[in-house]
Amino acid sequence: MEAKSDVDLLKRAWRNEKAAPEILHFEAGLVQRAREQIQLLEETLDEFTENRSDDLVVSLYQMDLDRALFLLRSYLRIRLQKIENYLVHISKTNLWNRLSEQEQRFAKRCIEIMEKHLEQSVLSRLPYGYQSMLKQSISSDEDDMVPEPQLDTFVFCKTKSDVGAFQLDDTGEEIVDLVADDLYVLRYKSIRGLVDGGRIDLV
Amino acid sequence: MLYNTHLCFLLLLRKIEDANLDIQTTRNEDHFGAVIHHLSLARNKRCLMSYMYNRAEIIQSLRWKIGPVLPLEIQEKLNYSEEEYYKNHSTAIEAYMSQLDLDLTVDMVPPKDPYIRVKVLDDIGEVCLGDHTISLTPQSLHFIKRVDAEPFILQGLMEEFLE
Repeated sequence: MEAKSDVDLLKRAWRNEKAAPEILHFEAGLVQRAREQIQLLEETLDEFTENRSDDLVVSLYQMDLDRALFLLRSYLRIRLQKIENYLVHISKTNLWNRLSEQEQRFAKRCIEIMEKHLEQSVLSRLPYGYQSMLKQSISSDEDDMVPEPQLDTFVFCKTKSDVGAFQLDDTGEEIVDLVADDLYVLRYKSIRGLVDGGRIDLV
Repeated sequence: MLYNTHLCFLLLLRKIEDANLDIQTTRNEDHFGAVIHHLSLARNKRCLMSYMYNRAEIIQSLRWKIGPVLPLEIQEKLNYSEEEYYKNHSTAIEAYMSQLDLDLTVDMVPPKDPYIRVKVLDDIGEVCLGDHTISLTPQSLHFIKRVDAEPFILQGLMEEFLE
């Protein structure tokens, strides 16, 4: 079970990313490998069409290629959409380090654009002291106008291996025994560390 | 004049804050007025911002659903700043895609079959797909690669033909 192909790993990364409310670590190595394999598949396909191989074989390869491409595109797309939604929040916290270099560049640009847009349509017309994009007014101590992902939502998850007794909240009142290969519905917030450490998969 | 009143108001607020006065116990008309003024300003700002922000979110989702050029009926509904925002945001996405050398706007649904059956809705003309050209005249049916068909479907020039 452990020896998984890169496509399987990509599928897992994609599923996790899709189910998690916040952005996860960018799988740089995996994406790189997946792209190389996709390119290889494309080359094989070209060879097949040149040699006029069996149509069925060609279409099977094509299907394989299409699926891999979809996974890759969808993975990158979900990440971009999360970045779009939680721009400021991501750029202000250590979530920023989870982005790839290109994504960071994209996020920076998006922030500039959003700032300019809100600036010229709303903020510049408000009186002094109320013109910040992040704070309601200068008397707010913290940034209180930044949309953040809902970490309290419930997610479906599947354990990869035995985790053992796991504490769900800070007080230690709720404890579940996480057994390998079992399905659970838990708050994302409480299993955040496990997802980050790759010990649990979201479905 | 307006600026001055606003300045007075800010000074008053600062004074309340500095003295750490409790609005419930220190009954002072000026303070009440200032707080109410402040709260309504903040409230109006929240409303304005969330209105514009929500619109911006819808606008940016259009880039994924429709493409780089908005149809006229949508463009008419945007104000100048929003149109600009859409264009800039589109370029940001395109810059990201060209850095990766991968088009992310196709392949929006999981593929079932590499080929799909499509019906042409509008006169598209001769199109070169892979190694052959086909002529896409209205109402004609074709069996082509999904990736080739998707951009046309997005623009509303084609639709998937389901029996």
